Amino acid sequence: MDIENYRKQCLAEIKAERRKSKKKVRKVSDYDFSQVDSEEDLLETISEMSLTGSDAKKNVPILLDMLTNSSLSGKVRMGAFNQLRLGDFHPVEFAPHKPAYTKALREIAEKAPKELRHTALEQLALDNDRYAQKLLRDGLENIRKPLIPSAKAVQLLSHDDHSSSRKIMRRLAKKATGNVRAEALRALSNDKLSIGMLEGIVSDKKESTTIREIAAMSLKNASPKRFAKAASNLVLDGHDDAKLRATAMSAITHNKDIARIVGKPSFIKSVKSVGSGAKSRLLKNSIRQFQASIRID
Amino acid sequence: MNIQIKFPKYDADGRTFVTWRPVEISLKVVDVQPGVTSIPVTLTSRTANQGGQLLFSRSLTHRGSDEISLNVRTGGTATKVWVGGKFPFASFSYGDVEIEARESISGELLGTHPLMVRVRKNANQLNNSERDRFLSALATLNGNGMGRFKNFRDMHVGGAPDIEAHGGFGFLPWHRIYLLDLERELQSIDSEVSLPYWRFDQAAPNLFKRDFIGVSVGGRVQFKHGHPLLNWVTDGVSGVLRGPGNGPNTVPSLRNENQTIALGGSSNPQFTSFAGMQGNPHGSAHMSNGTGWITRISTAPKDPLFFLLHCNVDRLWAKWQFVSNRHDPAAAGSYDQTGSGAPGNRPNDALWPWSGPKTPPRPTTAPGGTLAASPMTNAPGASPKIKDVVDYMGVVTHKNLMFAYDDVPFRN
Repeated sequence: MDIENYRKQCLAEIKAERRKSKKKVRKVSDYDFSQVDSEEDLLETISEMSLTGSDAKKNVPILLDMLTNSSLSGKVRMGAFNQLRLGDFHPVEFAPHKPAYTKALREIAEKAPKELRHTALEQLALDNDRYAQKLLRDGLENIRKPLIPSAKAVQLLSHDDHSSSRKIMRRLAKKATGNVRAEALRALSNDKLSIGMLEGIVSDKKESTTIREIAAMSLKNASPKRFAKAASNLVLDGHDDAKLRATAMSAITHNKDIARIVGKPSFIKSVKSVGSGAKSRLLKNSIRQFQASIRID
Repeated sequence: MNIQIKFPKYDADGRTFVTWRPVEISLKVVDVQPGVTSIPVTLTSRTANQGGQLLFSRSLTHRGSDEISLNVRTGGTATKVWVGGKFPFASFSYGDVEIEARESISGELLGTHPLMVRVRKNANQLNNSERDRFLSALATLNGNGMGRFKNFRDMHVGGAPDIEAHGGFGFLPWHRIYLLDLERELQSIDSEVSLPYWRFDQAAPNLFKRDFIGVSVGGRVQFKHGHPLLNWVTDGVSGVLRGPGNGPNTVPSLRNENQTIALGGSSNPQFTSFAGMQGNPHGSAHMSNGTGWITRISTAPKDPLFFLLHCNVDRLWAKWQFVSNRHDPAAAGSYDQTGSGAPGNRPNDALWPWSGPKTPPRPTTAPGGTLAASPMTNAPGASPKIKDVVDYMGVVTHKNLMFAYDDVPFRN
């Protein structure tokens, strides 16, 4: 390929794009929303509101006002929210507006329609906001009406190690069902007090494959040594679920410390035997990957 | 008689790699008859499996040719030639291209040398082997949350580190080095791997699948059974939280590639104008999944998709540099030369964390230490400055950082 021609072609495409998208740059004073024809037009206007430079001082309060204005449609409020979220990517310029933004998020976390409420709670939770964490915990413990589905609440609380939610997670890991239990088991991957419970679930063939897999991944983090033992037993158990065995094998392969714990010659020999007799392609592939990794080492 | 072909650098396994940017190799005749002062040799490349192709030249230029004929001196003196990948023919695996040295008249094969034209590719276009190697290397780096990946997660958090990475014109250089650091770590696990990019202004159906970056179900990413990233752990918690977003489709209301490059201006392109891409498309791409870790700076690197997103951001910068001739780090249009930026954003500033802990209000810890070394190049050094990362292909400075993109050629 001729590099010069390629460059010319790129430049021509950029020039064509420039011509196509030449439009009047709107200034803040032009944002007379009463003149906007349609909701789509309004959303496009919102998406052009800059959060940098001198524009930020004028635009952010307008956007915050739209976000908290319950007379506006959910779509418009979400548009304002999405524009404000871009502020995260201009931390220096957005910093003066952060307190007002956080205040607005806390307000809509309790009062707004579902999509706004869920997104606000998530944003706050990812920022380790204590107010939001309390709202989520109170919902799980039925102290207040849940603002978000329980599985999602567990998911968001698990983000912060210090969110004082461990006791709730342990209870849900034992007593809950479905996605709530799955998320609780994931959340306990840092919890030394849950190692025994996780071990029990991993080896319990009455549990579903999905739950056992999640428990195994959490056990791997909580106690690599005990995971190594559980995983090696799983891999070699010809009566256990092939998918689970493949996952265990893959987990050993991709963690050098765990591979070192289990990688005795007797285990390697047994794995080879399992691989040659396995009917499951997934299990065979995962064993092949393990064997390749120990050859490289 | 044969020709010894030697590249400037090799890794611990004796392998060598190039990008589009030529490197200078040496040719030596061995076991030659006495009295012969030179041998006429023709160099070509032989490609297997539609892999990489090469260009040859006597000087550093993008105008190389498919073959070159020259007289290789005898008597122990090396004859020099430049070799680089032939754009856009990148390798798929090591050794799918090799140099062949033949006696020019008889055609006798005198020597061969395998190598790889290793460049960063569009994630949506990787073959299964490339995809799996990348995922496996990434999972190994993560080490179930206990591996070296933890440093990369800890470099990109809120507070003072956030200001280092996003608080000024240093945004693009900081992320360029961040990605390079990660890629070099991946290559120390599997040397054939390079970081792929998510071209977020185009549909990417092959990327958003269970066998690659995963599919969002209920805000949590699902992978196929046996997928290496099933073992992904960050901050002690396994899994990835990511909203459904547009999934494999293009992202609406996001600047496309040409619109992004156009930001830099036309008659006298300026980096300071191009840098506006930090908001859109960069920020917009982060937000495009709606919810999940990638939507917040402090949690974004917990999602592997983040690195593919930023690889595309860097590619856009590289492409802007290519079309705008902006490789000279000292040139006014290549970077903000006013010196008015905050520490960590000026051309002569060494980038944190690779330059160690700072004093408040800058970060007082430096996760990961210095930049990972590469067996292929000494550039940009262990603690690079902003000016060291602008000319990533050594167009002007001759300091080749040894990465390139599949759609951005070398041009000098």
